Formats: sequence, C-alpha cells, structure tokens
Amino acid sequence: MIGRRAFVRSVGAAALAPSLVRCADPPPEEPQGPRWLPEAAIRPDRSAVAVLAADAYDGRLTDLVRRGLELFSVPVSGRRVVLKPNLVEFDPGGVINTHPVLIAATIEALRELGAREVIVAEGPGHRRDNDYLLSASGLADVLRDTGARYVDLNVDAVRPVALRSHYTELERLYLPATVLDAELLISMPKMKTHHWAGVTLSMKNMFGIIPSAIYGWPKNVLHWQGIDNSILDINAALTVPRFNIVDGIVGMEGNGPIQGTARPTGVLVFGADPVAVDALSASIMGLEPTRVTYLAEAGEFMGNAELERVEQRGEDPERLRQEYRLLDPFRELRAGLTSAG
Amino acid sequence: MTDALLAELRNRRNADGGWPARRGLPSNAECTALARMAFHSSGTAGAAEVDAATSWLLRRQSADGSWSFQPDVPLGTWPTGLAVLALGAHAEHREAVRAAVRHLVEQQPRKLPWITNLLYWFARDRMSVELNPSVNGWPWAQGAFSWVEPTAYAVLALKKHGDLVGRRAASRWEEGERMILDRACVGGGWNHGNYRVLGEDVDPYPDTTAIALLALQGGERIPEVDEGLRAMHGLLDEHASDMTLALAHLAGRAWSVPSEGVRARLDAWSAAPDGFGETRGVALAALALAGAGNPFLLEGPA
Repeated sequence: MIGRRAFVRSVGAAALAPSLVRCADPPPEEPQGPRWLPEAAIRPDRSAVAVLAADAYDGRLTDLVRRGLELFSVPVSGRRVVLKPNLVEFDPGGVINTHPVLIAATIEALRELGAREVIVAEGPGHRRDNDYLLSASGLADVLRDTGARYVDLNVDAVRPVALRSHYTELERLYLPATVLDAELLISMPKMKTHHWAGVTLSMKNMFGIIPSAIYGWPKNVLHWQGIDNSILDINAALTVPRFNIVDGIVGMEGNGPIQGTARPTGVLVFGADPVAVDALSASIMGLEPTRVTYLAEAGEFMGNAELERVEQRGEDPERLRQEYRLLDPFRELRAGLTSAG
Repeated sequence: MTDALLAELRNRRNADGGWPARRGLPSNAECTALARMAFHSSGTAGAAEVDAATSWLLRRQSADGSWSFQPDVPLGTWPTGLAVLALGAHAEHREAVRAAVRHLVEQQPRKLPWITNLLYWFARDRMSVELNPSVNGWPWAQGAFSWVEPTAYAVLALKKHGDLVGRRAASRWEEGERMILDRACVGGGWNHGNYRVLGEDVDPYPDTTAIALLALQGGERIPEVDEGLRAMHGLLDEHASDMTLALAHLAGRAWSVPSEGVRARLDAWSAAPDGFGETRGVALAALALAGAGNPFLLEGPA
C-alpha cells in the first residue's frame, strides 16, 4: 500500500509544496483489502520487455520500431492505433518531449504492419496552445508529412469510465473518446525523472489523456488526488489493448519532467505490460523499480514490477544501464542502496 | 478581414446551435461563448449566429449559475466568466447573467490546510512551489486550486458585470487581481500559474500573459503590466499561433499599445489561412480584428 510518507509527498504537487500540503490532514486509513476490483487484477506470471539500442533520431528508427513491434507480435493489422506521445511543454534547448522523428518512425512502422489508421493524441499538461506546441516541437511537420491525424485530448469528446481501483477518491473519470475507442493504444513516453513522482514513463504518460478542459491545467483535480494515486487509477481504468514504447534515446535527468537536463541513453524499450516496461526502464536509469511508489503498488495487481518476473528480449539492459541524476527527495530510489531510507 | 474567419466559424456550428473545439466534436461553452462574441462584434450580419449561441448558452446553464465546458459533465466550470462576457447584461437574459455573476462571486478555489498556509507565511521562498496561497483566484474545476486563466476570465467578467450583484463583486475581483499579480513570472508575463518550482524560475507563455493583461485592464499601468507587455511581445516567435497572436493583439489594444506587426501577421493569416486551427483561435482572431464593441475590452459593450 502507499505509505503515509509517499502519500504526503504525492498530493498537491504542481500546485503547491507536495511535502507540505495536507500535512494537517488525518493519516489516510489503511484499507482492509485490495484497493482494486478483481477485474483490474491482470498481472501475468511473467512479462516480456525488449530493449533495443538506438543511438540517434534518424531514418533507421522505422526498422527498429518495426522490429520491436514484431518481437511481440503486436496485433496491428486493420486496427485504429492511437499513439500517445509525451508533449507537455516546449523548451528549445530541452528534451522534454518524445522526439518527433521517433513518432514519425512509429507511424510508418505501424502502417507497414497494416494499421488501418494511426492517430497521434495528447492532452498537453501545461500549455493550452496546441498549434504552438505542435509547430515548435516539430510534430506538426511529422503530421503534415505522414498525413496522420492529431487529436487534442484536452478538448476531445468524453465518456464516463467507472474506476476499477480506488487510490483516489474519485468514482469515475471522464476520458477522451479517442482513447476509449482505440483498438490499440501505444504509450510513447520520454524516459525522464519526475520531481513529484520519481520517474515518468509509460504509466505516468497516461496522465496526458486526462482532458484538461474538464479537470483543469495542469490536470489539477488529479494532482489534488495525489499523483501516485491518479497514475494507478488512470492506468487501471483503461481496458483498451495497450503497448508501450519508451523513448530513451536521449532521456532527461535531474529536475524532470520539464527543467531537467539531457541524458543520452541510447535505448528504446518495448512491451505490452506498462508496469514491466517502466520497471525495466527505471532499472536502466539506475533506479530500483520497486522503490518507485506507484510502480510497487501497480506491481501488486496490474503488471510486473519485480525484474525477476520480467523476461528480457533484445539487448542486455545491464550493458546500457546508467545512473540518472536524481533530486534529493528521490535518492532513496537509487538501485544498490541497502535501505529505502 | 474578418469575413473568412466568420465564414469558417459559421461552417463549424453544430446542429445544436453551439460550437465545438474542432469539427466533429460536441459543442462546448468556451467556443460557443467566443463565437457569440465574434459574431456580435461583427454587426448585424451575424445575428442568426448570435441568437443560436445565446440560446445554446441559456439552455445549458447549470442550476448554480455556472457553465461547464461540456454541459453533460459537471466539472470544469471555468467558462462561466467567458459566458458572462459573451452574454453581457442585456435585459432579455439579465437574470441568467446575474446568476452566473453570483456564482463567480461565491466560488472559491481549494485552499490549503492552515498549517501549510502558516509555513508559506514564514518561509514562502523555501517552499517547493513559491506563491502566496492566501490570495484566492478561481479554479478550472470545482475543488481545484487557483490558476491564472480561469481567474482572469472571472475577474474581467466581474469588472464588467459585477454591479448586477452589488458591491461585493468588487472585493472578489480585486482579490483575483492580487492573485494574478502574485503569480507573475520573474522578468514579466504569466504562465499557467507557477512562477518558481523547486527554486527554478518557470517561463511565461504569451497567450496566458495576454489573458492576464486583459484581466488587469482598468487599473493603473503598474510595472507588472509593462513587464507583461514586453514579455508577451518578446515571446511571439515564428511559431506563435493565430490564437496567441489574437490574444496578444487584444491585450495590446486593451493597454493602448497595439502592435502593428502582430496585426499584420493576423491580417495575413486571416486573408489566406493555411488551414484554420482550433475554433477558439478562429473566434479570437475574428474578435481581435473587429472594431469597437469587443466584450474583452472594458470599453466594449456592457
């Protein structure tokens, strides 16, 4: 269960001091049973994750992404595929977003594999000006060149979805129709540290599907529910077929997810289980995955956070492993420490 | 110059009389309010659209006087200020606007526990997110914190129509102004509402800066205004969208420093648009290029 310490750290972030908001509130009651419904318990015995080396954002990525998809026999043919990249903000000198060349390569690979339609969809967390973000980030050029449709999830049509876990106090989430109608949803996060959640990868990337016109920028209603709690409830609520591709060619370390610094890592991480993909990605970043609060909790029912349960394909992740710089409050996440502090 | 923009807006109207963020989406309160403003500012040629937007808005006002972004979703009531600006205080819907103004005056954002406020009082510059939590603006959604853009819409709406509920509106919009000023970025301008996080300054956005400057109309030209205007114009790079250009032009007009360069870019875009973007941008561009009678300007129609 999420401990009081992690709970306090997670609430109110992005709006206010996360370690201090709610410190006058009574401690959350420890639930008596699981905080997820039986139908949300989908953790397989083992999960496969592939790490493929990639040293540059260039034309070779299409073949690499195709190889990654084929390693898992991802059912693409005839399907409407929704790509959810990370496009939260733009900084000309930064590495905030999933690289547009990787998005272009993924669109092309999916089409080669017979996708009926590929849609790029995101609900930027900070900025309302999509046209600016698309243009400045270079994604507009990709959309024009590939003819792929873009959907601003912040203002998309929504439908209520009953939650299948209860980490937040919400009963339902209004989620975008584009996401709910996807026949394959691919989370394409940037490999980054995160100043409130520790790391942001496939699961945290799903925060971006929350429609801000309803929940506010920067997804403020959910921040008040706790970032870890919200990550868990959002991911548990999604029942559409999913896949994940982590952009770790150049990641971000330090004060991510916006103001951190570039960390060339040279990897793409593929897999269907977002918990396992994130666990292995965190490991590549030099972290102990089960010390990341939401990953440890998701590992109880949603997927595999323990690396012993992850079947590795592709490159040996040990060879590619780095030590991402962490902010002080997250030093306890570092792999190899004997205590979680 | 606005003919193409209004024609595009006209084509985007949904069968229910409202306007969507993009074609194919449900109507929402923000775009419908902006479309009403754009057609109203265009003169009598837009009378049918004004009627349609008015009817859509009046039929979808919540019992508490607010408007949700999407009427069937009881969250995200931030377009209420925009709807007030759009409808104005005309006699035929004065009671609806009065109810909305009353809602805005009474609406409060989520507040911090007292002990956190105390910590902010003693060590504001050592908190993870630096701000003054004791001045309250308006939230995007009920139960959330104060943010710049929804506060700006509410402040402007109360400045123009707060007299419908008497003098108490003034103290509320004055507090909203203080909240906006508190959130100004270092060096000028505004972003969504965090100017310093974990000790690092956060950059302003040109569109949010313009919206904040519109809310501050009617007051003195204090340093925050000049810094905001400078920041806004400095941020209008080659990627600035039509929406941002429109907001910047409106803010420039509001403070009597319209930029000919911004106007020229808007004119060029509206004369030969390379595909119109979001409905919000189209409506704002039409509004920015319209003459007098602009609901975003304090001297505009009541």
